Formats: sequence, C-alpha cells, structure tokens
Amino acid sequence: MTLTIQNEGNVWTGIVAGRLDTVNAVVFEKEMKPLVENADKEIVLDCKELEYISSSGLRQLLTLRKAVDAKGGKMVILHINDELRNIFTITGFFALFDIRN
Amino acid sequence: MENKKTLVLTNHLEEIEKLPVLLEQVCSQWKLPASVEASLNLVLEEAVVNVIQYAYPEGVEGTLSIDVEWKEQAGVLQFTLSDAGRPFDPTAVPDADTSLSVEGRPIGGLGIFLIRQMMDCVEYRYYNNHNMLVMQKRITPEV
Repeated sequence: MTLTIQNEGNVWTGIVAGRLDTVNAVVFEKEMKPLVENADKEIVLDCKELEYISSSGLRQLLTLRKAVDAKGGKMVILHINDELRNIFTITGFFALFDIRN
Repeated sequence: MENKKTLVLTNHLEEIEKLPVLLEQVCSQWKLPASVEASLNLVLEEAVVNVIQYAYPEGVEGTLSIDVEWKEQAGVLQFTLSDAGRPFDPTAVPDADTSLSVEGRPIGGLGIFLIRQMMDCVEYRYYNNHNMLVMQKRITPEV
C-alpha cells in the first residue's frame, strides 16, 4: 500500500494504491495525517489503483470523513473499482461518501 | 483428487498476507473463478483478524488453522477456522446498522457483518476446547 499526498491551493489529494488490509491500515492511518489536519479544506481520495480494502481500511476512510465533517471541509472519493463499489454498497458506505468516477 | 487444504497461522497480524496466496492456489487448483478471490479474501481476513486480535491474551503465542474444502458435487467451498483461544461466538454479534449517518456511525463492527453478507452459511460451535467457525459459499466453477 502506498499513499501519495499532493497539495494544490485549497485541494489536498491522497492517491492510494495497492492493498488496504488490516496491516496496511495502520500505516495508512499515520500517513493520512496531513489530510486529517487539512480536513477543513477539499480532500480528494483517488482510489484508481486501490485493489483491495477490508473493514480496517473502511474504518480509516470513515475517520477521515468524520474529521472533514467536524472541521467543515469537503471530501470526494474517486475511481473505486467494481469490487470496492460492491463492498461500499453492502456496508452502506456508498451513502456516506461523495463517490465519483 | 483430494479437494482439501490446510493453512496454519500464528496469532500475528502479518500472517494475513498469506491469505491472498492461499486463495490464489485454491482457485487455480480447483478451477474456481478468480472473481471470487477478492470477496473470499475479505471474509477470511475479517475472520482471521478477529481471532488474532481477541482469541489469545496479549503476549500469548497461539495458532489458528484454516481448513479449506471444495465440495465439488454440491458446488460449495467451505472454510473451517479453529483456534484454542477463549470461547467467542462471532455469529452472536449483532449486525451493524448500515443505515446510520456519518455522525451516528460507529467506527468498527463491520467485520462480522461483511462475513455474513458475503457467505451463504456461517456457523459457530465450541468443541473440544476449540472455537470452530464454519463458513460456506456456493460457487459455480469455470467451465
């Protein structure tokens, strides 16, 4: 799993790639700190290269979403694959996030 | 041909990296569609992580075994997880409320819910001082 963070003006983009399993979610939690700190701005999570996610990974996305809500920012999730879309739907996460292609 | 496989893991989180490898072998050997790998990986990870994190007291080394069986006639893939940790019935955990909003949504509690949703049958029993979790999935093999 890799998380690359880019900042341009008011937009903070996290590009996540690989497998967001229980082990990698611990790393993700540390690496997403800049996104949490800037949760009052526009957060974009690009999941084009995210292959797999388990409940630990979903938990991190929810943590980020809650930070954005608390600080009054915005959050968008981009390009999730069909498998992830299925998991987002089953868990009700689809309704919690602004998910775009 | 023997349609059975066993993987024994220790109670360390890094052990979950062995699950995708196991499922790739299972699917290629028994000619199951690769499309089921990801959801089965998710189910096994949730169940295994549960055991690794909660079955044994902190600092105590323990193992869990995963028996995989492909019942070809019935078209059923069965996983049996067993461990010698404290008795815990994951099927007794209430379903997560997936209709809650962001504010009301608890962080966590999704693992067992995902297992129930992805599998056709999930049963727990405590037998011979072991937790046994049996999970079945109906699969149509590749022609």
